[in-house]
Amino acid sequence: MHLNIKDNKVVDVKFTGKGCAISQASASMLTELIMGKDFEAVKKLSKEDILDNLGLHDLGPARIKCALLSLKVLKSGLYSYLSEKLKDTASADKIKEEASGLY
Amino acid sequence: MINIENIRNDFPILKRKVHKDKTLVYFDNAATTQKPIQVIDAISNYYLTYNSNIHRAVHELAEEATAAYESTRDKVAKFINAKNREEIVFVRGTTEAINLVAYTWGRQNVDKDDIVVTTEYEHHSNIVPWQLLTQEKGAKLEYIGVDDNGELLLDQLDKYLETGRVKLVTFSQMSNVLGTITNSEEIIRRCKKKGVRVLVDGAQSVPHLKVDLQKLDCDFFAFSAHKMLGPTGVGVLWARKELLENMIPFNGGGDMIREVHKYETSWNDLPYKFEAGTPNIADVIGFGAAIDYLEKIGMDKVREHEVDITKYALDKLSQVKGIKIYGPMDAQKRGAVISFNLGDIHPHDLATIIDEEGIAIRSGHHCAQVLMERLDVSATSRASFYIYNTKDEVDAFIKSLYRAKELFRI
Repeated sequence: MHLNIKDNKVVDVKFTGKGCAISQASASMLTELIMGKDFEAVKKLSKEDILDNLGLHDLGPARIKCALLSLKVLKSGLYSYLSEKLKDTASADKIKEEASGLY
Repeated sequence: MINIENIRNDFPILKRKVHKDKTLVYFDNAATTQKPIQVIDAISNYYLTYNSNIHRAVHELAEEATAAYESTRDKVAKFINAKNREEIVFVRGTTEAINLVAYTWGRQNVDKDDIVVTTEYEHHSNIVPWQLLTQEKGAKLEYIGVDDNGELLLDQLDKYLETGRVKLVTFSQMSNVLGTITNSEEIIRRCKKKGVRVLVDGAQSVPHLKVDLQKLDCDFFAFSAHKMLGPTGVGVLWARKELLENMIPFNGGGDMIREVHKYETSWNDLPYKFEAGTPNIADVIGFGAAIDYLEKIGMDKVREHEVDITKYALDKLSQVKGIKIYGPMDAQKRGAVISFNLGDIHPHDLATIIDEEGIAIRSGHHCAQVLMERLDVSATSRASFYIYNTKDEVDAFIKSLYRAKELFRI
């Protein structure tokens, strides 16, 4: 997943991926969801936001991983951006924890 | 031929419905098999009537439990035709058996620049322990490749053996993805000529084929109870007595000792030296009932049934347009496990769709990512059969594949 962030806004976002229908649909939906959004709003995206937008609320433990994969990738990317570019260790650590707790 | 109807009646789970009213078709036997009532009863009978710890106490319950636990060891020895019962070590499963060898024999015998040879169609459990060992020792891990028919390229083994640095060759007797039955006798013959030790992973073979360790002539052999009608949490490491005698213990603790002093300990006899702590008594007893069950049917009959159903399934699957089947197409050369991909439907999606019809197959990398890389796929779907599966179930499975094709418009 590639993000272009300018003036605290996501001005471009793309993903490449190969996988099951749920993972690909959720990644595609996520790119639409964050395009043009404020960086702060993107940071706040939750598991529920993804499942609400997908309209899938009864996924079992095996397939919920498919639905949340792209959010996990996004949060991991934000972690790198926050820690390396913005040197915001506190926010970076928080988002890293969120990413590892997604399942 | 075996009487499938009688066999099915012994498996209570096969009577349950899934997704409300769908009859269960269980085709994930390479992952774990279902358990007959005889195994379930043996386990509950232990807990209901003679639950106690083994080997130490002298009361009646302990005597009964010890006798039942130890009788499974005799059954295992006979089942795989091991020369000595003390060569049978109970562990948690195939994974623990292989790790035990890597951590004990491996640490004692593999040095810098030595080579451990495995194959491209191994389960992660026969790769990762050797990566850990060779990395720790500065040794090398090499792979015997797989040809397009899903068989091992044995010329590559010769190349490694010629270096004179190979300490161990380790391979699966049957691939859990391709179903390929390894030409084990030939590999072992070549290794013996060079004095190289051999470990055979029998997780997929012992449940389905008659295995004769004295004929096979390997040095280490590992397999799991839960893939052969037994409970989870029990497996077997078999190793030659003289090797076990010279190996350092894996776990230290109760039952594996003879005498413990403040700063030194002497080890118990084989196999107890490798069975520290209270073992999985109930499930070892259940494993004994599983072996009884298979012996009653006869492993030649098990194999005959599996060749029959595999041949039938391969024929039917080959007629599905857009299917790619991996591994040998000759049912005599493979076990009852068939991996495939259908068009570009992702295996997880395919498995979800046919699960709606009550058909349970496996999808994913099957703990064989090295093989997935070799096949140039990220995942496959896998159907695997056992003694209770029928041709009618194969028909239902094929029908569900056509439904998936319709849904994905391929």
